[in-house]
Amino acid sequence: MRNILVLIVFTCLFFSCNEEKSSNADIIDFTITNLSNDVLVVSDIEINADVNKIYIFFDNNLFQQTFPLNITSDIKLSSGAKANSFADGEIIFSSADEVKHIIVEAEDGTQKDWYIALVHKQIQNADFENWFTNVGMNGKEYEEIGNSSIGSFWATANMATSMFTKYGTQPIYDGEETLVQIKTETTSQVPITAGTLFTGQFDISGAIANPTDPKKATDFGIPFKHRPEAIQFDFKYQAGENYIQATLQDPGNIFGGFTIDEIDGEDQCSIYAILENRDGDEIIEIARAEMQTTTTPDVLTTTTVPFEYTTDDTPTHITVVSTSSKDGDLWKGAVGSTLVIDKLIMTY
Amino acid sequence: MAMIKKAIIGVFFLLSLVAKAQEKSFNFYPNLAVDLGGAIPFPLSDIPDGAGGTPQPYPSLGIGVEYQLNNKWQLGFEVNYHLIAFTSSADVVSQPFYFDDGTAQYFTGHTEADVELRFVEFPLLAFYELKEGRRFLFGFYYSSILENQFVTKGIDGIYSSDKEDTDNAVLPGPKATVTYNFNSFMDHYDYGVLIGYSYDINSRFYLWGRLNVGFKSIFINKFDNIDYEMYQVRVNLGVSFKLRN
Repeated sequence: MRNILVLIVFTCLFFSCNEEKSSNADIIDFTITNLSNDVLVVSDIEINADVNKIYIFFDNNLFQQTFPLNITSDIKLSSGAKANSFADGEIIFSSADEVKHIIVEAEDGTQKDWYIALVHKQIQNADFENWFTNVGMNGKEYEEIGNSSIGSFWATANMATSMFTKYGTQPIYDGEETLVQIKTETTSQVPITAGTLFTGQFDISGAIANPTDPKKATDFGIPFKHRPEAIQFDFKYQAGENYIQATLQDPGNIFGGFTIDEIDGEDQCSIYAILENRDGDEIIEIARAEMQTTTTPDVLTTTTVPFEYTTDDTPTHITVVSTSSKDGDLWKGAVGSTLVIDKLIMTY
Repeated sequence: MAMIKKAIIGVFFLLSLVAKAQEKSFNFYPNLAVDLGGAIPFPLSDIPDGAGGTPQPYPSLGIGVEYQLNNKWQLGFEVNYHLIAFTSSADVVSQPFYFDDGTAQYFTGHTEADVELRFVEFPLLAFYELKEGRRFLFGFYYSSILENQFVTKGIDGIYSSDKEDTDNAVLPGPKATVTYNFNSFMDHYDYGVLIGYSYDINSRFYLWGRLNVGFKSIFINKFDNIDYEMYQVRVNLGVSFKLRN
């Protein structure tokens, strides 16, 4: 009997000594127990472990609500993990555009950044008021859209063109208002780099790894669960003078240079929005609103572009893209083409 | 396809020599060896301070035949399959990548490179017997490269078309990996010289070591997007088995 007890004790000691600490630093559940604003309706909460984000979906237009918004939550973490903030579950958002940052530390000390964002009937920062100072590939500072380098719902290609000290998408100021100027530039190695502003993420590593395929630098789309009637915005556009088509001399080889051909016609800007239902790799387009135009009068004009729905599905994502040269990804456009856009809203 | 033809011709040539091996002057042997090596920049002054490389050992297989010219000299011909691979890393300052139009991009920061070459090598060898069971060997080789990979990454550095930016870079730069894939610029053949030494374990088995140095850049001629050429350098350690005494 004594031998059996000794064996059990040694076995327990052996296993306890060999127990490895967990490196999991995940948020595995997030529930809301109270909101400071009774009018707000939370329709869904999504934990996206691929991008370490928690999206709280509202059936309201948060831009019409009063902030700060106090959210009392119950956050469940991986076994043994702890959060560096909001441990009591109290999260205070000072605006609808704010993205909260939580560092979750695993039992073994591994840390993971998590973000909490509010998703509602409008797109975050769609009045383009919020910009921050970022550091480009060339080590120099420039203005980038959003509140910080993490969590922005909007993206540009500025990081890629920063290696040429060119920034196609920049804020311009009109009194208290901040507007976006999107411009088609040229660089020492690429004859046409169309400015762009889109919802989603810009992948700088993808841009550099695939310099001959600009689309591989973009990860379009952000969570969105509503069915707006139209997209509305203020804009004006001036096409550049020389409409050109640049073609890689050696397809697939960015080192080989381009041939440049002047072509007939005039450059056009493009502003479009796509509502999609995404389920894993399956993507169904639900609706599209699209506008392309050549030069407009030199005043901001409010334009409404209706969504054309093709299914009754509920969207999961919205992609909004604005570019100063609609075929810029094919190196077709005019250097100097300039699109100014502001106050983008969804109408219902 | 051309390479496969060359390999088949090489094997048939060896087999015909095997048939001849009935005669006393010929001997046939399979090889089993380990390769260590890769490619190094030339001129050597282009290797950045603090640069390091890690060759990955891979086995090579082959067959060969040798012909006894006289008491001291033998000639040999082999067909060998090799895989050489290595990784290297270096901290660079304003490393240029040239474009065909004469412009350049510069990178300052940490770089890592992965290189891999699979090839069939056809060495022609001369053996000189120094004393019984110990031979000095030298020769030259041609190799046909079946598959190659050369990927270099710049990690969290400063990348700019303006050299002044990279000369004055404050590191680390933005969190990004600049990847250049040079696979399509790698050539499909190589040639060079080799020297070595062999030691007989017994009348059938002998150990050998060789140093192979390529005379041709691993890149195609028109590739001039980086400042330096790179040449194959590898050590090959193996054992051979003579099919007859």
